Amino acid sequence: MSLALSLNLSALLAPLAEPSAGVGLSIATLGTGTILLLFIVSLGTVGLAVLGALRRSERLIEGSVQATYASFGLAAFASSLIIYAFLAGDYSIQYVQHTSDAAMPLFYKITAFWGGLDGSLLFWVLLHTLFGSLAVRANRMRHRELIPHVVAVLATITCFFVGLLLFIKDPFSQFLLDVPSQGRGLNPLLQNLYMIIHPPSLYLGYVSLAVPYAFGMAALFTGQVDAAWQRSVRRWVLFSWMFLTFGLILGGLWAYEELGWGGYWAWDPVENAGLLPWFTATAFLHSVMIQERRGMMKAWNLILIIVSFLLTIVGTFMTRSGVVQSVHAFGSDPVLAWTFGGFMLVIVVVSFGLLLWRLPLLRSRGELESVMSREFAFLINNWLFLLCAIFVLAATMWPTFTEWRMILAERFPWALGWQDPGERVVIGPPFFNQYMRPLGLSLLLLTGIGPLLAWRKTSTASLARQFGAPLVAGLLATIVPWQLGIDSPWGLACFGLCGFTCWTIVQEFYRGVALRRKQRPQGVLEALISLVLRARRRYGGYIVHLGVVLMFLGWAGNAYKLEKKVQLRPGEEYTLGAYTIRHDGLRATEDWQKEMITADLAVLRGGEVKDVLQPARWWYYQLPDQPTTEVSRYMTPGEDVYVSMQEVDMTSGWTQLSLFINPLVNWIWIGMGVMLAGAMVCVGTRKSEAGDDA
Amino acid sequence: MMHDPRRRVIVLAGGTLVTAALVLGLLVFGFGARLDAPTIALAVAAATLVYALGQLYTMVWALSRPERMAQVGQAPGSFTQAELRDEKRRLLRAIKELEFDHGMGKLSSGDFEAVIATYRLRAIEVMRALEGGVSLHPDLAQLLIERRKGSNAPAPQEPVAEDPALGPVVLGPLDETTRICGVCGRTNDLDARFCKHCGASMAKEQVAARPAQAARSGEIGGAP
Repeated sequence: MSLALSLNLSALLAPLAEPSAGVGLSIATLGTGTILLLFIVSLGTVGLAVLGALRRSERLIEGSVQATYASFGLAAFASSLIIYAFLAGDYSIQYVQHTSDAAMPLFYKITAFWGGLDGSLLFWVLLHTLFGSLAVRANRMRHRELIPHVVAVLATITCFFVGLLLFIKDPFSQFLLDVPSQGRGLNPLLQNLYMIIHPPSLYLGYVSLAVPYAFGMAALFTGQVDAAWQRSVRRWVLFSWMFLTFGLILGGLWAYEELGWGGYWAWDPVENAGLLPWFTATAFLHSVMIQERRGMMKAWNLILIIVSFLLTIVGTFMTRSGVVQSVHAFGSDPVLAWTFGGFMLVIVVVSFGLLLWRLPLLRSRGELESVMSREFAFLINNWLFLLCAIFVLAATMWPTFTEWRMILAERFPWALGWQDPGERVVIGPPFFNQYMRPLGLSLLLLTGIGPLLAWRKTSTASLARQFGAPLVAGLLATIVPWQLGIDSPWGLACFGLCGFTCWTIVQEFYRGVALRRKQRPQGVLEALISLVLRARRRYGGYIVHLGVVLMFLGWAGNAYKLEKKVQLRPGEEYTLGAYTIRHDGLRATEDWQKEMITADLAVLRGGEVKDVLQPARWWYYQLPDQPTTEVSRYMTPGEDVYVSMQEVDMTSGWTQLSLFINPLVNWIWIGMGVMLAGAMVCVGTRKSEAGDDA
Repeated sequence: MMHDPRRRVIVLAGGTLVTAALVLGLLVFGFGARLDAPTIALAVAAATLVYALGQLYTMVWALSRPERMAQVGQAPGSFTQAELRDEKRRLLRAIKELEFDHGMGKLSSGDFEAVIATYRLRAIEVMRALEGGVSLHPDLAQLLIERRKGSNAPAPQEPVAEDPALGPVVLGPLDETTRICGVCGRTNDLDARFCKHCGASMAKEQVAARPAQAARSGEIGGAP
């Protein structure tokens, strides 16, 4: 009934929004019309901003700023239309029919908005225009000269994505002939809480990186490449970084809890795509400090911002175009692939062209004075992060490159026929782990060393004072696990470095508190709190580092993880490590969505029942040939007992189980919490300094 | 009608909310629709439409105004008081952090002095500009000119201390930067607070209020 109503109402409203949409008025027409209008407005914004900047016309610039807000309004309208279509079950729209059905809970119907390719692009536009409006609003009084350029760059990006929506992937496109009366429904694997939070969180990180890029470009256009543009963007990058971190680790947690293979990170191309900008954003957050302090590395920082933004586009490209094979690629689409490829090429040419043009302005004011300085530590940190990004990108894209080479060799045998193209290469997790392990551990080492070094030059006397205790802690943290029987060199190195870095952080806090208490009489807690509040970035950063250490501790646990595939019948037992698993029986149940078979497994340690695990397999009626694996685990700070059910035979009771003992794995999630808390400390600003660095 | 930006925001946001409520009321009571999720979504969609149209109208309105009424854009290179205050706060914080590093024993005293001197110089420059001082200490002015020659900032030819009310003011000749002490009659720098010959206070009332602020420069971020 409300559907009919909506048709009435949209018929009333449509002429206001889109006068040309004459025939067959419906939500779909209205939506497509809105997207068309949004495209025109974004083009107009670019024009106004460029003209305004050329003529220095305040009127035109003000118009372009208002047009930026208007594009957000239009994007919000289009998004609310598609959400309405989901809620009302308007299956004449293809996208709605593909990703939802009437039986889905309300919440999943709303989140189905970003569940598929077309909708996620619209969601991208919505977030992009929102962030653009917020950034322009926050900075338009402070950095007036930059604003028209920022608006122009942001609106160009909007144009590209709205153009995609309009010409290639219209989320409002309709069925032309037979309108189905039923929806196809969302993949049950995606119907869980992590999946609702994980993609938007990554999106928030991705999309918000466009704002720093726009400011960087504006700085290059105007030639005001000093500190102003960074003040506007440092917070944004931190914000993007937080969401990227959150989204990535949540993705890991989802894989760990849903996929049932006992791990959390398998170097899937799409996860890698999220990791790439994370590397460069992290590098930027560090190197921006050198520029602030010493006026060095100006060009480098701009490069990092450009590359971060470019990598978000590469990531989107990898997810959307189907050029890489992945569990969550949206499927192959050559048109989209070429469009994205062209866009990336334009970004590279324009950004780096501008950078070359402005290179004379970007010369460094200071210079590196000593190897034993914090600048140098930051520099190495940056190289390592960039190396990580390049390695992961190359290893992720390599299979695709070999495929392209095969295609080219087939098409141009006279040029490439002399070599044997071979088969499509598959690069698996062991390859990534082999190279990322030393890179990660070197970064952990730097996390420990960097903060102890002084700017410019560290004196030898200070070195001994700073590094004595942490080195002892690191040695202890290596020897103790070794004595306990861990013989993996990587594991021991990781434990040792965790101990070292952890102690440097504790020492920083301890010395800071001691210094503060010397300056004025204060309690320890009071001194600690005021210390953190007064130098938020520094101590927030240390808290983030502490989270990193905890995560590395979780990874170190991999060195002695146990796994076993076993077949158990009710009543049988199996012993793995310190735990005994006892099969207590099977249950078959069903609800309105699915059939379930659940096993009851008692976990015993030292003869005592610690917990009863209930791994299960679910068969959704909707997708009967794709049963899902429901993992069950017994969590302790020391380890996880993790069980997933692979095969089950109800008649004989044979149950094939994958048993894992994952030591220290929970510290990864705890580490994430600590990292985010630290980042909040960095972002958080008191009201009195609200204008400081938005 | 929408001259004040704040008022414009209120009108837009308020209008959007009122529309949502109106449409919802109309649907429920006028057409007898059930108050369920689609109905609410429809009301929200209508509200966002009103917001979008309102914003489009604002855009057209902004474009149709005469040039001087626009709110964005001033002559490039000029600083507002707020920006200067931000800059000052940042510099003071950097100084404080350096002092802290020094106290923690990470920085040797020589390095500390070298690094902190540049920050102090810049902080003084900013604070002078904030106080609306027309001129700088001659030595400082000389230093700033030299420093700016080395830097890449889009710098004016001579150091200026902008007064937002008057616009940029170029430094006067150096002989205007001296003052006569009212007690002993000898010359002093223009910015002197006490006479360097007899020690008598040279502060005017408005200047006298400021040293307290400046003396707290080591205190970063206001109240504990």
